[in-house]
Amino acid sequence: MTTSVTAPLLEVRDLGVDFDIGRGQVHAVRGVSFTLHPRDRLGIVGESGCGKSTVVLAVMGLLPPNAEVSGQVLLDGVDILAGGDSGMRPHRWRDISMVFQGAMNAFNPVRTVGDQIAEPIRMHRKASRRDADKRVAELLDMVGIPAVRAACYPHEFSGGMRQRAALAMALACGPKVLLADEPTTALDVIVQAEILQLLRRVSDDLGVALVFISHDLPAVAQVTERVAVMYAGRVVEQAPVSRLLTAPRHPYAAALLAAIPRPGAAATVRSIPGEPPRLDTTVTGCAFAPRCASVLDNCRITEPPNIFDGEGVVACHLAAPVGLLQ
Amino acid sequence: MSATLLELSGLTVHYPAGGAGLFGRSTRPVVHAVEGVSLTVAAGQIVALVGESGCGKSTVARTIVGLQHASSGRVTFDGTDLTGLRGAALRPYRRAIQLVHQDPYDALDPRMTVRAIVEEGLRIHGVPRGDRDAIVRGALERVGLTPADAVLDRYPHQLSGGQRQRVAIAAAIALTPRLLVADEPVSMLDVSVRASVLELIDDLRRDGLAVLIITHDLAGAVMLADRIAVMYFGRIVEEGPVGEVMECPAHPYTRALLSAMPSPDPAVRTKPEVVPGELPDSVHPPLGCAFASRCPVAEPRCEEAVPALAMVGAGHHAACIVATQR
Amino acid sequence: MVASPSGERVVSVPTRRGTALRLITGNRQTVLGLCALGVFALIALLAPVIAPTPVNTGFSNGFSAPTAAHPLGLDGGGFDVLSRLVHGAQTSLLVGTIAALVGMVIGGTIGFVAGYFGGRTDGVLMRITDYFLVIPDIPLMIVAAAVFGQSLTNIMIVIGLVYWASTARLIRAQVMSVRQRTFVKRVEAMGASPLFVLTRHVVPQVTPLLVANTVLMVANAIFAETYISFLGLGDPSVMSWGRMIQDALDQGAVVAGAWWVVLPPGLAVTLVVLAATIAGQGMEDTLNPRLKVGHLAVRRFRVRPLHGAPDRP
Repeated sequence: MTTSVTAPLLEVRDLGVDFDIGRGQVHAVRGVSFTLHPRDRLGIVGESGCGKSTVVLAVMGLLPPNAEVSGQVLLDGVDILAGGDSGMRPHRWRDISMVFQGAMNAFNPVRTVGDQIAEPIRMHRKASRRDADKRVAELLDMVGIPAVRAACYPHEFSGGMRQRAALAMALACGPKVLLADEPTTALDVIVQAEILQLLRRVSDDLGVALVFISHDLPAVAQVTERVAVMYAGRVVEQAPVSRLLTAPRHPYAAALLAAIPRPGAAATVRSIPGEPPRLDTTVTGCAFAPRCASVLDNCRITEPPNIFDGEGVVACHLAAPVGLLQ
Repeated sequence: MSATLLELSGLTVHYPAGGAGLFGRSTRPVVHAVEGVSLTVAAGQIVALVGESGCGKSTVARTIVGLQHASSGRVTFDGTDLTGLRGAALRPYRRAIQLVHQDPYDALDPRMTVRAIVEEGLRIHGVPRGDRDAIVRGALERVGLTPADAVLDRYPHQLSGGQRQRVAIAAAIALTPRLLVADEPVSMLDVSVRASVLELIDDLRRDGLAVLIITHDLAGAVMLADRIAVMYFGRIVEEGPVGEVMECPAHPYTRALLSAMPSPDPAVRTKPEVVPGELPDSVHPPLGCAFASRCPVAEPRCEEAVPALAMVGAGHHAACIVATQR
Repeated sequence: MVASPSGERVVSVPTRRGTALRLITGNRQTVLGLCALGVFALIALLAPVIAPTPVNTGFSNGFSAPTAAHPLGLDGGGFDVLSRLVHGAQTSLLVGTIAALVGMVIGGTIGFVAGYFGGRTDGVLMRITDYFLVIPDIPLMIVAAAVFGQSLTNIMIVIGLVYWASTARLIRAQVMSVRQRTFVKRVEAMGASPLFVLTRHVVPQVTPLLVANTVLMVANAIFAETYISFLGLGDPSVMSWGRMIQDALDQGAVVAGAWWVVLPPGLAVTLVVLAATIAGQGMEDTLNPRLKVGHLAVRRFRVRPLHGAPDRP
């Protein structure tokens, strides 16, 4: 677990993202906060539309022009959002880097993989071709691709290998924080297990802090120590992974766990009734209330506050005795 | 014991890589998608065909419903050989066998209402106009979209993914089929709704429907199926009662799949029992066992000939010479 | 809104407007272009009424600058320019529209058949299409005019024959793409005949694009007609803008400084072609937002709504 003695590496405070879509606003992210220390591994889990990808795009400053971002993102104590794009750019790839969703399909088909991995190296570090190639060989080795394959084109790589190459590209400039958005989705389960192993190894060996975004809770649990569960733009529970999987405190987290098909547990697997709310309407009270099995009257009126309990955060009225909110 | 409804014997599908050449004739290499697959499904039974992407399971599904022609082998339905049939002779079987697709977001014509979508099959098969309304309503209610009036006049874009998949299933069962082939029915749905759609499919078998479910998600398959068949590189490598195969997997590939499934217990780190390697080239398939290049227990003689399915337990077969030795 | 046993709510959302309406009104460009075309069409229709003088009545022996009686002056033959312009509109627009329709019918049919049936049919049809694509259009029109005679009908057919090929390619590509859609395969698996699938699923999906493409073809056709008439290959018995330009040059209008003879027809052709082009492009933009260069525009960004989200896990 993290030591609270070292200063946090990345601190996201009360991040909010609203999109202006002409006929109104979409509140994609509301009040999201988390902290990463060096070598931390955090998972962000949620279903489609919960805002998890938006959070990391906001951290990287890669949102489209009609996005309004509020809150702070502190890297080594400096707010990198405050300076706009020019304030963010020096940090991109050098301090924080990202593996995008579907990165394995985002390669330029007419350039070799080696060239594409070398690109950020040559751009950010102004390295010579020879130095860049050496670094590329190092990176490929780290991600388990034989260095000779740097001269291959993306279509000559399998899906799993391309994902590894995307990871190599993200690590090219030696970042301190790596954001991985659905890195194993669309991969076969065996290749997925290999990539998860790789992420663990890279984080351990390079000391990179990792944020792993996925809808697949068991996969996230394999890599991370702490998990944040998102629903309708908010983090509803953040806890050490072992606690989240055995004793989740937010009804949505519990319901999500119960909904995962598991061999041998057919009788107890349950879907969550209803649907996630539309993000372009203002929510009164808790966004999960319409679907919550333990809903109280207060849930529909007041938005639950973030309740801290030493190990984690829960955004639920049920988590605290009445009158004792921090 | 119910009678066998569907029987595949030595089904083989080869198709030209890259489509047709000039004037429709092909001189391109041939992809060996499916090789000698044999399988049976009985009424009221659910059989899961499991394998990773590219193993040929979707091709098997398409061949059964007539969207793809078999190169050799037989597809027998209720005693009739379907492989030679075309056009009008095939029509009654196009009603009796229905396919549920993977992509609920593309499976419904966006320009048609739900009513029109569910009714379409009835129209194709000449069901009298007067009877259609009752059948459509019945089908919608059977899949859990009640009252039917609420959805009848909706368009697909107004429904969630889970609802769209239910509409697709309703359109299939409106024709009172006897066999349902479900190709990855929940892989594109959010985790929280998957279980309910799988439950629906489970429920449908009570009406005597036979179900062949095709999936790469072992956990989901195990929840539903009575029998399971594991495919690799176009062939069935293991098949048997689901409990037996899960408890005592014989083929190294099945063992690798099981070992790669992320366990919800974070203390258990998944380590797939597989040697890093890649799938062989489907245009030039190897002479011997296709899994040998990744198999942890492969021996030199594995590469000499393709292993045949041999008995390893009651009703349980595996195609591995090393496994059947024990 | 009601609940099903699984508790899933059906959300009420206003339905999209019908495709036809969306096609016409969905884009400011389209509306502008169609309105301009409408104005020209109106002028053409009312030509006999609004032309100040009959077309073939001479008023003088030569050029005469614009006056109140003759707002666009007289050309070298003494004819009223405005009258000729207004009558010319009839020809240009008529030929343009019919030629575009001819092209649409031929190109559309070949595109649908090639795209849907594929295989050898597709191969053969596409080779024929390729042939027509590479034929230089003007020489072909010249030869056709010379061989088949200079009538309006012939011109319309020839223009259509030259321009159908690109439509065929476009429609074929779209048909092939629609054929791969899951909902089409689903219905085919159910036993639908090819005709059923074509008429009930493929045609409705592809027709809007065909319409948009036809509007663009109108622009091409009008320009082609102008060309043909300008070259003297047009129908000598009707007035058209191309003929007006030809006459203007023949009569030495440029040398004489008679701008009122040369400018109006040229401007008219330009405006009509522009109107048809922006209308057609606007329609294509409406149908396929990804073609737009307006990703630079702030308001184009669409966040996918949660229900029915194509945002897959």
